[in-house]
Amino acid sequence: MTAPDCPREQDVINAIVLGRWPHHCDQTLHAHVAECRVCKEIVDVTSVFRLEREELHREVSVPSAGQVWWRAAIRAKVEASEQAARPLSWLFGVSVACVVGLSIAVVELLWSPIQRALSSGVGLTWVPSFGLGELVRLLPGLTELAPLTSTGAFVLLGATACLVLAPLALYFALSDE
Amino acid sequence: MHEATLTDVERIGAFGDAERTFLMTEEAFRAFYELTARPVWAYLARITGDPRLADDLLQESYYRFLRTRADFESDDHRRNYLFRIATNLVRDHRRRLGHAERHLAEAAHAEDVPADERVSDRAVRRLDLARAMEQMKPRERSLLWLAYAQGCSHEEIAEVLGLRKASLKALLFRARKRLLGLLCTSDHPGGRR
Repeated sequence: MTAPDCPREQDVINAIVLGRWPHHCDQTLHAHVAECRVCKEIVDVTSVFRLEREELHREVSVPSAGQVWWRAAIRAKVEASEQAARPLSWLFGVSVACVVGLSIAVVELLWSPIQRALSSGVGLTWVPSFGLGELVRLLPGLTELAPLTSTGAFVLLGATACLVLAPLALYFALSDE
Repeated sequence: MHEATLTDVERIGAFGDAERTFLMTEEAFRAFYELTARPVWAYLARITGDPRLADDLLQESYYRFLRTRADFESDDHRRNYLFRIATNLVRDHRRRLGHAERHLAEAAHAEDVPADERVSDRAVRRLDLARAMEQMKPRERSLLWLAYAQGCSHEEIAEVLGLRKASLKALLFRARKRLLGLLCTSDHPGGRR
């Protein structure tokens, strides 16, 4: 089905939409509509829509411009705050991942010597006054860790503390801002 | 992610920041809003068939409009852009709703007409139009409303709906014929009501 066209179609629509039809528009337009099948149809449809539009405009109570502006301003501010917090959330996530990763690594490193120590039945009692180096030397199964005990273990612990604490400190410092 | 909340002081600050955040001044926005709010609401109400949803989408449309960084050549371009945002919001909403859910919602709103409105002839015509529009496709509703209620040109409709101007004439013609058919059916006493 081909769509029939009329060059005055938009003139007819404008006349109705702008309220000039039927009393305040050009007489030639009336004469044209009387003869043109397309424009007659346009008048029927547009008149129905014009009535509907007028009634809807009359009935509706839209919020005031100030209210819409205010709500938009508040929402923009909230979104800006959320956007600013996003990198900090990432940082927090990364630091949590670091802690978990390091914990797993430390457990993995210590697990087999501890198991061996436990299976040999030595060193089941913990003496708090002992340093880590002394403890390791007392436990036959933990002798593999000896090189790590004096300096290496402290470096490892220091690095762990830095990796864990630095992002956390940064997060808490910046989250206040 | 936690939801950010604002203190009262920040709320007042937000009001002051708004003109820096948005590309429009509050005064310009007020003028634009007064011209466009009712037509946009009517468009949303008619194409969704749900006045309450139209209220929500109106606020969202203006928010997105205010956040845009687009340059506008004229007031018409600005208005068409707003209608385009509104159209896209309705599309997104329809996508989120399932077909069955949508059908139920529309059927519910079809009966959502006050009893006193059923009395006058004007009200009957409006009800007929509302029912006919509900049976049409969402794109047809938008096409018809923009063309015959808003008086938009084919270029403007193509811009708002993201359609090719070449295909618009045929689409509009088919939609108009279908609407007239549905309106005639509801005019006949034996027709489907």
